This record gives sequence, C-alpha cells and structure tokens, in this order.
Amino acid sequence: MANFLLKRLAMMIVTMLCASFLVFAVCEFTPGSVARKSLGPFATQQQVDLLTEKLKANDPLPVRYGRWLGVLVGAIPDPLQDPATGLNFKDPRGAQYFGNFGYSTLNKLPVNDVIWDRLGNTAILAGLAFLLIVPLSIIFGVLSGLKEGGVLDRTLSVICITFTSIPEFASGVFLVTLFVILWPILPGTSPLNSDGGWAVPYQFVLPVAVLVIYDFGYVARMIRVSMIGVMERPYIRTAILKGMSTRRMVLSHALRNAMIAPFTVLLLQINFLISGVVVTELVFAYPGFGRLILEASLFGDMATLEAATLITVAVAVVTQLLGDLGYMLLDPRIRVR
Amino acid sequence: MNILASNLQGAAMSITPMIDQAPVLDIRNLCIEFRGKAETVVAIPDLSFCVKPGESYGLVGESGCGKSTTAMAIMGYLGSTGVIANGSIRFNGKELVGASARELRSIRGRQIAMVYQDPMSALNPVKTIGAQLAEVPLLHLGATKAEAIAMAEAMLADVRLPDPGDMLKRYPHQLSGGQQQRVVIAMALLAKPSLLLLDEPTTGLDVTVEAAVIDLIAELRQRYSTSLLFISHNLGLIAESCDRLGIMYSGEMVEEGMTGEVFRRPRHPYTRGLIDCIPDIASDKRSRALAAIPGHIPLPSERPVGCLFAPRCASFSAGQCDQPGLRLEEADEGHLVRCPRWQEIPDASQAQAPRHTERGEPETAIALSEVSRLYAIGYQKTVKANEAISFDAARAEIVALVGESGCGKSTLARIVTGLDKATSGEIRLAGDNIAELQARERPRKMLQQIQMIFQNPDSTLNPSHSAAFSIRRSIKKFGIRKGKAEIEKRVRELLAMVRLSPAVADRKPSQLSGGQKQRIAIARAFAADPTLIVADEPVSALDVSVQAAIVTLLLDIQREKHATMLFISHDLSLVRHVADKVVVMYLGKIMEQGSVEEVFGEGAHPYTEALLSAIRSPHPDEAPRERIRLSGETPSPINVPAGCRFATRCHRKVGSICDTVAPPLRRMSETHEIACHIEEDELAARPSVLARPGKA
Amino acid sequence: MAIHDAIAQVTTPAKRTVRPSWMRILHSRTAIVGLVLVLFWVLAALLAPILPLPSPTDSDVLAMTNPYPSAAHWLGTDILGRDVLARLIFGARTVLSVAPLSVAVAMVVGITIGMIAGYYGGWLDALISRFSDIILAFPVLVIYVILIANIGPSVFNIVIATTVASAPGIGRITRGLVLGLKEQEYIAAAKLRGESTIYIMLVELLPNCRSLLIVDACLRIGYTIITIGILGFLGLGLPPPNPDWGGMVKESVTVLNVWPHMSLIPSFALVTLVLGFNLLADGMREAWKP
Repeated sequence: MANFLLKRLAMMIVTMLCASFLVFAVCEFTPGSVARKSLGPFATQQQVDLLTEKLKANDPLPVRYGRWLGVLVGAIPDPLQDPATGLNFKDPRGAQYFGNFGYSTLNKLPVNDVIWDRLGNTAILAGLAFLLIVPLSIIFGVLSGLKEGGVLDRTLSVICITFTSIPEFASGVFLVTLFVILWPILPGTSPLNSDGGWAVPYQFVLPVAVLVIYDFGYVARMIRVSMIGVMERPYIRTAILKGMSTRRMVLSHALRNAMIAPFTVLLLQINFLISGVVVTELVFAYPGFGRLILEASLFGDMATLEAATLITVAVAVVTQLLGDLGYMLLDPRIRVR
Repeated sequence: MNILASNLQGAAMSITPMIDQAPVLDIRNLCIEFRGKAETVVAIPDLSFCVKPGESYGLVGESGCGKSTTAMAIMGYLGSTGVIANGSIRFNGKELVGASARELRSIRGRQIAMVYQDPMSALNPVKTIGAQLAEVPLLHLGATKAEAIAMAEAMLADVRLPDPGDMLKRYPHQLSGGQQQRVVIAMALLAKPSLLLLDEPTTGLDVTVEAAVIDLIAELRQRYSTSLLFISHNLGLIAESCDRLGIMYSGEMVEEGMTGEVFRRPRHPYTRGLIDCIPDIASDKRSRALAAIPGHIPLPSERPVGCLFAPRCASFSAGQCDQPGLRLEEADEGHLVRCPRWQEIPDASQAQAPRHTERGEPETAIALSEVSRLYAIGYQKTVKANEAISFDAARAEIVALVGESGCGKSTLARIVTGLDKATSGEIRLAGDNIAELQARERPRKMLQQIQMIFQNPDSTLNPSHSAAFSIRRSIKKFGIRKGKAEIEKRVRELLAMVRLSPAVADRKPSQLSGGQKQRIAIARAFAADPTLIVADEPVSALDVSVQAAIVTLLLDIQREKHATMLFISHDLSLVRHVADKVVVMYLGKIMEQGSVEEVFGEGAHPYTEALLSAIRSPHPDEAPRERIRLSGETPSPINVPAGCRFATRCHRKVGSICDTVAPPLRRMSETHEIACHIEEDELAARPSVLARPGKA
Repeated sequence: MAIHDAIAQVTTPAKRTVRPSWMRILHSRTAIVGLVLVLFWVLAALLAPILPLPSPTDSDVLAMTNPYPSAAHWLGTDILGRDVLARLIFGARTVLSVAPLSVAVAMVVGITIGMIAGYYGGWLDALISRFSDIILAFPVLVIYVILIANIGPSVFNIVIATTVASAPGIGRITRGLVLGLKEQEYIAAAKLRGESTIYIMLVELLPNCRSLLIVDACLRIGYTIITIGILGFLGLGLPPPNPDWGGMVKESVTVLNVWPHMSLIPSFALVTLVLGFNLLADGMREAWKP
C-alpha cells in the first residue's frame, strides 16, 4: 500500500510539472511581455526594453521555466521584486520563500495575497453545490435505473437531459429574471459583502442553484447507466430468489455495486466546481477562482495563471487519487495487496 | 487415500421408496407467453409434470426448449413481459400462479431454492461470502446476526469447503469455480427447502470438479431429503443423477419416465436421435458415425400443427403425425411418450455406416520438442503455462489435446498458430522451426499451412460484416483465387462443403445460429487449404444434436483433404470418437500420450484414470466401473508443485518422491508414454476404469 | 435417411431481418424530438440568406428606444438596435458550422490515439494515457480559456481547442472498446490471415465501435455548442460581425433588469439546440443497444 501511494505521489508531481510547463509554453503566444504589463501602457518602449533585460525575459523558454520553478520552491528570490528594477513590488513575506508564486502584474500584489482568498470563496460555493449534487444525482440516478424504460425513468431522464442542456449563463439569466426582476426575493449579484443590502447567505442561493442545475443531471445519468447495468446482473436475481423484497435488494446489493463507477465521476465534479465555474462567477460577480483564471488569461498575468494552473492540477490529481482509493475500497476485486 | 469408490447409477440415487405421496411440485397445463410490444411469443404451450417428494427429476432439452423458462415460472420470476397465461403450479398443495408478492417472497429461498449456471456472476462481487450466506437465515428463519453467521459456517463445512471460518470473510472472486458453486449450493440449502431447482449447475466447470459437485448434491439431497428439479442439456449427467426425467422439445414434453427405462428403451424419435448423437466410449469414428438430426428446432412462431418434431422425424407419416391434440400416452409403466406411432417404430437404432478406415500416414506433419511458455508477472513470479511439451502428429492424423482448465492446451494452440510465442523449444513444420515465430512474422506460405477453428461461435465472426466476409478475405490474402467472380465461386464451393446454402453468405452473423456460424468458421479455416488445422473446442458451445453434425462434417473434410488436426477438447467421449492419438495435459505438462486405444485402455496415468472415471454417459451399462474423486484443487500455475505436478491430488501417490522428483517417462509401448513414478508393470497391470474399455 | 442429406438439412432459416441502423432510430420518440429540434435549426441556418429577415448587423436606431418585439422585429432588437431574430438565425450558422467541424477533427485524433493505445498496449499505451490524464486533469473550460485567451479566437483556434480538450476523452472511450474487442476470435482469425495492423484497426475493429462513438460525437457536439456559447459570453467568442449567441447574452446582460428578452431569447435558442443533440444522442443509444 505504501508503495502504491509513493508511486502515485511521484506521478502527481510529474503531472503537475508537465501541466505547468505546458501552460507556460502556451502563454508564449500572448501578446505583450511581462515588462510591459508591469510598467503599464504608458511607459516608453525604452523603459520596457530595459526592464526586459533586467528581468532576463528574453532567455529561452526552459530557462525561464526553471527560474519560475526556482522561485516557487524558494531557491531563488523573485526577480520582479528586486529593488534594482525600480518597480516597487513588495511582498510582506519576503522575496524568497517556499511557495512564492511571484507577483501578479494584473493586481499589483503578490500572487499569494490574491489567490487564496478567491480559492476560498470558490471552495465555499463548490462545497455547497456539491452537498446538493450528491444526494440529488444519486436519487435521480438510482430511481431511474431501477426500472429502465418505466414511467419514473422516462420522467426523470427527461428532466436530467434537459438540465444538462442548460449552460450556466442561460440558467443564470433565467433565474435572475425570475427571482430578481419579476419577483425580487433574491439578490442578482453576489459580491460577498453586505453593501448591496442583501445578507451574505442569500447571495449564495442563485449561484449554487445554477451550478446544481447544470451539473447534477450529468452525474445522475452516469449513475442511471451504472444502475441499469447492475440490475441486469445475475446476482440481483439471486438476491430476489432468496426471498428479498425489492427495497432490501436495492439497498444491500444493488446500490454499492452501482456506485462503484460513478464514484469517480462524482469526485471529478469537484474539479469542475473549483476551476470551471467562471461563467457563474461572472454572471453573479462572485469573487472566485474561475474569474481569476479568466482575468489572468486575458491580461497575460503569467504568475497568477501559473499559480492557478498548479492549484487546478493539484486538485484534479488529488481527486483522482481519492477516486482510485475509493474505488479500491468499494470494489474488493481491485484491491492492491 | 482419497478414492470414493461407489457405484452410483441412476435409480440407485433415490433413497426413500417412492410411496404415492402427494407431489412436491405439480404442474398442470402450464402455458407461458412473452408479451412484447410487437408480438406475443408462446414459449410453452402446454406443460404438465410433477416431482414427487424426495425424488430427483431431470428436465432435459436443447436450447430454446423452455426448461429454464419453466424454472423461472415456478419461482414467479418471468420478467416484465413473461406471463403465465394458463395452467397451475402447485407446490406442496399451494397454488403458485397468481400468488401475491409476499407469498412468493416467503417461499423463495425458504421452501424452493435455486442453484444457478454461472456461480461467479450469481454471487455479489462486493459482499463477503459470509454476508451473502447469512442473508438466508436472517430473512427466513428469524435468526440473529450471530446465529446466522454460525449457521453459514456450519453449512460451509457441510459442502466440504476447507477452512469455513476463513471462507466467510472472503470474496467470490477469490474462490475457484468449483468452490463458488459449492457456496451457491450452501446458500440454497441453508433454509432446508423442500425443492431445489438446479439450472445447469455444472456447465462451465471442469470435468473432475463437476463430478465432485454432483456427488455433493447427491449427498446433501440424502441428508436434507430435498426434492430436486435438475435442468440440463447434458444427457449423461441426467442419466446418472436423476430418478425420473422429462425430455422437452420446443416447449413441449415429448417423453417422460424413469431414467434407466427411458435410456434403455427410448420411445420417442427425438430421444433416440439425441442418444445417437452422443459419442460413446466403446466406439470411435471407424466403427460408428455420429447420427445427426436433420432440420432445426422450430421457433415458437414456426411450430407445426400436431407433432412438433414431425418436420425432422424419419418416421413421419402424414395423417397421423400432423393431427392437433397429440397427448402423452403411456408406453410402459410410468413411461410416457407423445408420439402417435410409438408402437410402430422399430426398437433398434439405425446403424450408421462408418467411413473412416485409414490411419494417419507415416510422414510427420508437425513435431513439437520441449516447447515451453513462461510468463513473468510481478516480482520474480513466473506463470508456467507450458513446460517441455513434446509430441508429434503424423500427416492426416488427428491428435487430441485433453485437459482441464489451466492445463495449457489453449496456450499451446496459440503458440502453434503463431498467436503467441514459445519461450523455448522447437516446433518443426516442413523443416522450419516456428516455435518462436509469431503470426505477423511468418511468411504467407507458412501462415497458409496452419489455420484455426475457434471455440465460441458468437465471437468467431465479425458482427459488422457479412458472414462470408472473412472467407473472401482469406481466399484473397492467400492468392488462392483471383478476381471477384472466381472468389465468389470458391466461396460457394466452400459453403457447399460445409453444407450451407449460398444465401447464407451475405447474412449478418446475428442472423445465424451457432451451428451455422461454426460451419462458416470451418469453411474459413479450410479456405486457405491448410495442412494443419488447430481446432480449439470447436463444438463445446453448441447443442448436442448440432455437435454431432459439426463433428461428422469436420471429420469428413479432414479425411478428404488429408489434413492433420490438433483437436482440443475437455469432452473425453468426443475425443474417444474423433482422435487417433491423445495427449493428456495437466498444469502445463504432458501426463500421458499414446494412441487413442492405449490411452483409453488398460494401464493409464492416475490423472487420466480420474478423467475417464468422470465420464457420464446416457448409454446404459456404460458408466465407468469405478469413480475416482480427486481431492483438493488444481494448483495455481504460478506455484507449480516441485516434482510431479499431479502429486498434490493423486490417489495413487507412491510416496514423497512424487513431491520432490520430476517423474520419468515410462514407455508402455512404442507409441504410449506415461510420466509417472509408478513402474511400467504396475501401471500396465491396473485394469481400466471404464466398464467396456476401448479395444486394445 | 442418408447422413449427407441429414447434415445438409441441419440449417436454420434467417432469424428476423435486421433493419438498417438508421431506421431503428426513428422508433425512438426521444430521438425524433431531438432530430426535429436539430433539423429546425439546421434548416434555419441553411435558409438564412434567403429568408425575409432584416440584416443581423444593421442597427435600427428607432427601435433602440423600444426594443420590444414588434411587427418589424418579431423578436425585438438588442441594445444596438439589431434584429434579434436575424441575429439568432445567423448565429445558428456559425455555431452549426464550427461545432460539428471541431468535433469531427477531435474524433479523428481521439480515435487514432485510442486505437493505438488500446491495440498496442505496453509503453505506447502508458505514454498516451499519461498524456491524456494530464490534459483531462484540467476542467474543460479552463483549457478553452487558457488556449483561446492566448492564441486568439478564430474558427481554426476553436477547432484546435476542441481537439485538445476532447481528444483525450474520446481516446479513452476508444481505448476501452478496443481493449475488449481485440480479444475476440475474429481478430485472431484476421491475424492468422496475415492482415496488417492498420487493416485490423480500420476494418475489423472500428466498425464495431461505430455506434458508441457516434452517440458520443453527438453529445460532444452539444457540449461544444455550449462551450462556444460560453466563450462568446466571456468575450472570447468569434470576432464580429459574426453574431454569436453567447456574445448576444453578454451584451445584453447589463440591461437584464429592463429588457430581459434580449438575454433570454438567445439563451433559450442555445438550450433548444443543445437539447436537440442530447435527445438525439439518447435516442440513438436506446435504438442501438445490442
């Protein structure tokens, strides 16, 4: 077991390194340079060139990547914070420490000051949404899969398919029209402060609703397919012919088998809920992680983007690992000895 | 020592005299329909039979005859489209048709229990054995959790599973097939039901494992006084396990009676046809050709008026056999038959003219020498699939590879054809060593010489292409014919050779029956004009009557083309019929090899003895004299025993030398070799386990 | 009866005829509803130039003060006075040409790598799977955002982004299918004929993956349409003058409390089109169950 975990840990680190390198490479195509972004649009080209030299921003890609990695692990101080550049970028934690994600050229703040708050906000949103998605999708999925083609199945399936066709901005627009404009019982934006006159808890309702609507249908369909497969298996017949009632058979035989495959899918939703909810955050002006990624991409704020990527991939890889571990727990056939 | 020498035959299995008590199961005029959206299918038009208390009743038939449907109807589990349209099923006097769900629940598992065909999938893979067993007493006997576990453990001991305490905590995938089936049997008998339904309980199990399971069922039946309804397509099995039997054909019962009586004097032409299809130990292809029943089993929509078997019956007479409303008549005491002409049909079965007279030619077609296949898996673990395999096959000779699962015969077949590569050793074919040449490395000429017929008719043809697609490809790839017209002509010739009409060529495989698909597989194999055919269990997946036809066809073609054949099978009666030479394998090594008469005759390897003793035959007076039951399980090919591989289970073990030293090859004759520590004279002196051994 | 004739007669007539796959879809109600929805938009997109619509790019200054649906503008106008209905229908052209194209390219790439990984196994499989895992670790949207924000929005770039985002998933499905299929006996028979690997992959394996892959493709087209809509909403959509449903929502979301129809209508259009593809995929899956 320890072997297995060690191997996975190694794989995780490799994956994270590869992913961050890929993003680094893609960001090459952004117009504009770090120097330009740092100095702003009004600086002269001369100043930009000078800064570029100082920052050694024209070095080949792998060297720059290595430098970024070095800053991250605390081996090198962040060149952007070198007072010799005259940029006055100051990080209260110092210029060289483990976990130094660098300086955000967009926000003119150390990345660490920007990113964790946003991540936290999105985590709350994700958590609430997840808490609703899990039971909803299981109920819908199991009930429709119980009797394939039955009335319940058809109804629930139509609901699920319809909901997966509604992207977040569509449901956002619709819900806002309904509950904010026509029937104003909820706030239309969620900036997470009470300035607009709405208590913070109310601000979560619509964004969470939008996320849940879009996502639970997909998971429910996965569970349905798994459930249908399980119901056709001979051991279900064995259970019934032992004299079990349908209810008991579902709870003690079918459910656990049906949840094996969808378990991973459920965990993957955490992935999506953390990093992929930029639309919802935009619609409701929610200060979240997805918006951060968007803004950083649009602006070309490399440091923030890299940091966000690393976190995203870390979350993904950890959920994959949890998924695999859970799989092993649920299915005795694949346990690592 | 672990010989259980007992003479169990047919009627001797009953324990209590059959007093005329009220039957445990009484089915009258049962009519089962499947009502789909488009059409209604009458699976069973009118079925009646009964099972008396304490008796074992066999329900026999080929696929589509409705025997499994009957079992499901008894349990009230016909699915959403299945309906009992008419008739009654009385269990201990209580009417089951129309019973409420609650009543059914109280009967299932408690008074009627079931044993299934594939034990691996009948058990829940994520629950422990103990948990699944304990459900029965918890549901039906009002036991507490602790009591239920205790009962489960006791039951596991009853079914002779080693270390019951530990077994409770294991999961199904950790058990072998035989062990799983024992668990299923234990689960069924926990609540001491009065009726046990067994639906093909040993199909898919190895021969020796099957024997042990059948023994177990017999023993438990005695102990718990349970009545059995035994469903199977295996006539031999039923002949030896059941007191009475009923033969079903296309949803109808055509003959019923005491087992011994029915097999000694079969009255219905279908029954006779079935019995004639089955090879027997006493004869081979030179003395008898397997009969085939012409025609096919009618689908429910094609049933003729009158006798359902009439379109295929040699004794058909218009006016008599096509009248509606034929009933079961009593031919002898307790022996019923549904045939208006039963009195007129002569007793003796038709003699079939044998056509094989030649033996193999002296020239060697293929010679294997010390062929080994080892796989490395994990840390320093090796799977020894084959080790030091050496034998040859002469031109036009049929060599049978016999053994149970895990013996390596399939791996060897794959090495010979090039689908796998030997680790060491030589296989000489026309001078070249092909042991380590895989198919993609072999030149076209070489590929052409070795072709294969596979086991599973459902996966032998690509479902997305027409049936003859691969035949055409074969002809084209090997350049046998050129040009579309020529190729089509050759395809037609090949189809005619396997007795299929040319219309079949363009059908999709899903529209063909198993027998038809296997014929196409044969046509495909012979399309390349090979000199060696490897047939890997070519008929195991087919119905009995179809098996006979395909085997006879294969023998005819082989003889005509002088092709050498490597015939792999686990069915020893079939091997006796088909082979010229036999190689017996166990756990990757050859235990014995020789001509078919020698191997089936006196002086055999202990393992061969055990295999032969497990043969079950419906031919009366043919059951082996002695039953040898092997203890233990086949060891895993990862941990092969040092010394003789069979030593852990051998009933004639010499001593500790068997565990430590590899056995020498004993030459019993010029062609007969046995790998054993027992001396030649001692081996030769032992009489054959078969009642009427093959002629020496 | 002679054995020869006996054996000749051991045949069965054809079992019920197999209807061609396309016809079986029509028996599924779900598929028909989906097909209707999809065909509606396809027709609208195809006929767009000849339909009697106002131009989707002209601003009707008069309507800007009263953008509600009227006789001149059946679905009203947007904040710049452009006719919503026209923009809707011309927007369909964009979406219905880009999405299927992207998915088609992604399918080709995905099936290829999936086949190679599944058939050859070994280090090739490990490499491809590892690489796919890395890409699949990103939520799809993040991939799109990062790519498009950096390389710019254009049809070509959207195709690239879709391929990068979807090919690993398609590859995984194909790989799974191939792993199961390659053990079938007809594959062994093909090897014994000396068939090349390419032949086996394309002629023997691929046709048997067809139905599952077509269903997946249909679902992916739906998802790509959503993504294109989202990109438009984020401002990463195709540059004007192409009307873009997502872009339409983005432009009018600021005035949602006054003129909700401007945002609701394009949203609704998107939902119907995606629903059409999803229903069609579901119907196909039902109809083609083995």
